[in-house]
Amino acid sequence: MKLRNIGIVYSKERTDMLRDRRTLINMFLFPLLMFPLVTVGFSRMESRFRQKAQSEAATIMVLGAEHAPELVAQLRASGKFVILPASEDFRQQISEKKIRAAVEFPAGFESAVRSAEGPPPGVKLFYYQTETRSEMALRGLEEALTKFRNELLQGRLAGRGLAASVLTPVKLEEENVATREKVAGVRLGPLIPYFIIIFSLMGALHPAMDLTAGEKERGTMETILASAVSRGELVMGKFLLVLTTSLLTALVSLASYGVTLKYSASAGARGMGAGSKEFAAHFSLQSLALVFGMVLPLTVLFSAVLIAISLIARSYKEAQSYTGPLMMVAILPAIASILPGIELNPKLALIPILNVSLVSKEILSGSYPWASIALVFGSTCFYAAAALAIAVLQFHREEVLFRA
Amino acid sequence: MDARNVGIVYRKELTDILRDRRTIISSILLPILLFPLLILGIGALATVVVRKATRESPTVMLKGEEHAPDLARRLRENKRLEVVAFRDDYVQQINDKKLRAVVEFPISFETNVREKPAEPQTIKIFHYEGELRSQAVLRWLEAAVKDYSESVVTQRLTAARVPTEVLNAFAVEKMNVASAEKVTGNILGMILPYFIIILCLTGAMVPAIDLTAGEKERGTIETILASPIGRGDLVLGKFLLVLLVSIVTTALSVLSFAGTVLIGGELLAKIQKSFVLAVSGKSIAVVFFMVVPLAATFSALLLAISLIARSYREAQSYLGPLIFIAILPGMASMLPGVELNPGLALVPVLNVSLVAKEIFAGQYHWNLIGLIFLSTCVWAALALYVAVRQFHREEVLFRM
Repeated sequence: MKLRNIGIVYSKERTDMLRDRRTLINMFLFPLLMFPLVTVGFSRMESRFRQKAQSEAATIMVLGAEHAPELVAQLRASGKFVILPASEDFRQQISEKKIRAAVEFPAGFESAVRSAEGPPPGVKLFYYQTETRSEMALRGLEEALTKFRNELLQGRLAGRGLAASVLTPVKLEEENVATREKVAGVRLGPLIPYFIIIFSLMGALHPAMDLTAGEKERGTMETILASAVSRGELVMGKFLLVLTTSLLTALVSLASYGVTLKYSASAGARGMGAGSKEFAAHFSLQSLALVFGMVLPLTVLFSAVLIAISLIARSYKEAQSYTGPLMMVAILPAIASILPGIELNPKLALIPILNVSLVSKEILSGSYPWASIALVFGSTCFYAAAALAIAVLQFHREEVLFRA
Repeated sequence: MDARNVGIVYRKELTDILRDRRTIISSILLPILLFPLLILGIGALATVVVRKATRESPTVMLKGEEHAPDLARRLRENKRLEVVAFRDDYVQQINDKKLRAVVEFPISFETNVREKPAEPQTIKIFHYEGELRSQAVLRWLEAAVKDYSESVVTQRLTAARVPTEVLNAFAVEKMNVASAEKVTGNILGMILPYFIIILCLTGAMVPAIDLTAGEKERGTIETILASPIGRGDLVLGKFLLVLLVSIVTTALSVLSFAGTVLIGGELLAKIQKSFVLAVSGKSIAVVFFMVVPLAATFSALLLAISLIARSYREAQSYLGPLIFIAILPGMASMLPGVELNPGLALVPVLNVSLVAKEIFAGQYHWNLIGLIFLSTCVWAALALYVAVRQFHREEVLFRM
C-alpha cells in the first residue's frame, strides 16, 4: 500500500465532493441549524406557553361555597382563580377542559373546623389527571388549603397555650455539593453524545453512498478500478474522505450546540438548561476533547460500515434503501444513553455505539473512569478495524463490484 | 381533465413504484418496524434499569450521628437506604457518584429538640443536583425526616396534654374525574400527532421525488409529456399515487403503534402501574380524516418542489430543509398550554397537530374540526394548483 496513491485517490474524491456545492451546503447546514431551531426555538416556545398558562387565572368551580365563606373569600382575593357558579355537570366540564378543577366543601365545613369537634370534615378536589392546566390549578388549590390549615392549627394551638413552633421541630436545608460542571453535565451530558453520534453518522452517509454506489451509477467504477492504484489504496482513499466529512459534521454540530447554548439566555432560564449559559466555562476543553477522542474510532466504524454496505448497491437510490434501516439501528443505542439511570459497566462497554454514548456522558459530567475509557476506546477500535477489513474485502469481490 | 387518463397515469406509476425495493422498505417495512423497535427497545432497557435500581440500595452517610441517635436508628432501619461509615471526603464521593447523599445533624440535635421546643433545629442534606439517584435518595430522606418530625410533634402534644386530634383540621381528597381514555389519550395526544405529521411528510417524499426528478434523471419525462395525456391529468395521476403512499405509510405506522402498545402493554404496565391504554376507534377514524387533506397538501407541495430539481439527489437537497419547517409546528402538540382557537385553526400543520391532540384526549370540537378540515383542504387545493402550474412551465421541466 502506497501513501502517495491513497493521497491521489483522496484528493480526487475531495475535488469531486467540493464541486457539488449544493450537497455540501446541505450537509453542514442541517446540523448547523438544527440546534438553534429545535433546542432554542422549542424550549423558548415551551417556556412562554407554560408561563402564560401559569399566570392566567384558573377557572374553577366551588361546590358548597356557602359552607366555607372565609376560605372562598381567600381564594377570590388571591387573584389566582376565577370562580364560576357551581353547576351539576362539573365533572363533565373538567373532562372537556372548560374549567380546570373543582373543589367541594361538605355541609357545615367551616363551623366544624372552627369548633374542632367531631370527626374532621373532608374536602374534595376534582381534576383531570395528566392535563397540565388542570394539574396546575390543583396545585394552586392545595397551596391555598395548606395555608388555611396552618392558620387554623396556629389558632387551635394558641387556644391551648402552645406556640406554633411546636409543629416544626426540624427544618431541612438542602445543599447541592456537586460542582457546577457536574450539574451541567448531568443535565446536558446525555444529549450531547446523542447528537454527535447521529450527526457523525449522517455526515458519513452521503459521501459513502456517492463514492461507491454513485460511482457505479455514473459508470466510472470500471475506469477507476482499471487504474494503477491497488484496491486497498482505493478503499483507503475513499474511506479517509468519508471519515473527514463525518468528523467535520460532528465538529460543526458540536460547535453549533456550544454556541447555541452560550447565547441562549432563555434556555438558561428553564430547568433543563439551568447553568447552560456557562456552558463553555463548565464543559472543560479537556472533557470535550476526550469525547471527541472517543467519537473518533466510532466515526471510523460508521464510515467503513457504510462504504461496505453501499458498495453492494447498484445505484444511489438503492444504497439509500440499505442504509436507511442502519440509521435506525444506530439511533437506538444512542437514545439509550439519554435514559436516566443507565450507568456504564464492563459488559456495556463492549456494545458498540452505546458504550461511546455512555462513556461520553460520564466524561462530560467531569468524571474520568480511565479503565472504562480505555476499554471503550479499545473495543470500538477493534470493531472499526474489523469493519474496515470487510470494506477492503468487498472491493476485492467482483460479484459485489459488478452486480447485475 | 379525463378520469380515465388520470387512472392510466396512476396505474403506470403504481406498477413502477411497486417494482422498486426502496419504496417497499421505506413506506412499508420502516413504519411497521419503527414503533415496535422504539417502544419495546426502550421499554426493555427501562425495565432492566428499574430492576437494577431496586436491587441496589443507594448509600448515604450520616455526619454528627452521635447527636441524633433516634433519627439515625430510623435511617439505618430504612430498607431503601444503606448507611455507610462517615468519611471526610464525602463531597468528593458524592461528586463521583459513589455516595448519593449525606445527612448532617447539628451539635446536640436531639437534646435541643427535646429541651428547646421554641427553636426549630436544622438538618442539612448534601446531594448532587440533577443526578437522578441522588434526587431519589433526597426524597426518601425528606420523608424519613418528616416521619421523625411528626413523632416529635405527637410527643410534644402528649406532654402538653393536648389530644393529637387537634392537628386533624380537615382531610383533602384528590379525585381524578377524567376517564381512563382521557388520561392516556392526553399523553398519547402529545406524542402521536407529531409522529403522524412527520411520517405523512417523509412517506410522501420518496415517491414525490421519484415521480418528478427521478423521471427527469431517467430521461423518461419527455416521453410521458409527449403522450396525448393532458398535463393536468398527468399531475393528478402522479399526485394521487404520492398521496396513497403517504397515507399508507402513516396508517401502517399508527397501526403498528397500536399493535405494539397492545402487545407490549404488559411491559408498560410494569413501568407505570396505572397505565391503561384506551384509544377509541372513533378518535383514530376522525384523526385519519383530518390527516388526509394534510397528506394531500404535503404530496402536492413535494411534487411542485422536486419537479424543479434535475436529479434525485438534487431534489433531496431541496426537501431536506422542508422537514424542519414541518417539524416545528408538528411539535406544538407537545407544548403544554397551547390551546386550539379559531385563529390557530387556520395555520397549516399546526392546526392538525393541535386538533389531533384534542381528539385523542376524547374531545371533539366539531366546529373547529370542520374549520380545520376545510382550511387544510384549501391549502391542499392551492398546493395542487401550484403543482399543475409547475408542470406547464417549460423552464421548470427542462431546466439546464
